[in-house]
Amino acid sequence: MIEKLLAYHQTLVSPEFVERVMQRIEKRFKQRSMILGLFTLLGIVTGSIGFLLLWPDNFLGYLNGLDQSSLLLLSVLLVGFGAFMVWLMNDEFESP
Amino acid sequence: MSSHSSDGQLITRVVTVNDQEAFAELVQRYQSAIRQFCRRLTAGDYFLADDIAQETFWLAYQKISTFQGKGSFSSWLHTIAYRQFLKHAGSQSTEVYEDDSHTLDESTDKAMEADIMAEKLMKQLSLAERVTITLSYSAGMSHQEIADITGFALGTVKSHIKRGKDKLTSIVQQKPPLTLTPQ
Repeated sequence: MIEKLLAYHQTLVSPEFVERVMQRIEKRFKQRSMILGLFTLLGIVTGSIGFLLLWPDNFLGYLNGLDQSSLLLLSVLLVGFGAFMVWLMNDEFESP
Repeated sequence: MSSHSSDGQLITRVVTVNDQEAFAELVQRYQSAIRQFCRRLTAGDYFLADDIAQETFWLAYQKISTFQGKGSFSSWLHTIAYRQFLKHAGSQSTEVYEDDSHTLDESTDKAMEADIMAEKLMKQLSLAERVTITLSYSAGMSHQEIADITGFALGTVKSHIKRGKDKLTSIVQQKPPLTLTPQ
């Protein structure tokens, strides 16, 4: 009697429910990406300002002393570092 | 194409290539069980139940790589849903959900009536009795599976089920199900 009474009597299948779940996933992913992007940007800006404030003379002097090929190499290294960081955080940037 | 794949195959696709269609198929497969489970836990608060069910699938998506396949995917989802429900129950002042928008006299759908009746009966049980009774009699799970999902000891599961069943039996004997009215 109780078993019969408590059984699930309806099958709740609705495409709208699936759609709402997938929309929620998309929305949460965007929120996470935005938060991650914002804090990454904030970190880069703060780090750059701190770097320039602490070692302005040495850093600028060092840059002025570099020849063109060394500057090019430095730029390539910076871009490589950026690409490495993006690859490292790939799970977070990857779209669902 | 996905409808013929096993749960394991779909999960693998979600984990390895982030396949959204595969996850949507898993949601499609388990939405009924999880939504019904949440409806019973909330004793018929459909809005809250669907919100918990959606949150359950979102968390499942987020944590799917941690699913080790030791139990069934269904048990894993029920565990998440139960924890989500406890969060909601803990954040609310009362464990009785006031939702009596359905009346048995107005309903013509027998299956719906029967589900509404079962949800109303859930209001007479404690949270522990609700979850153990629902998983046992509605979801058809073994006592060990229920212990795994709820974190209760096996003996505690059995005693909650017995106490809940005794309560419901006495209610039904006093008042036959078809004459039960919303409180």
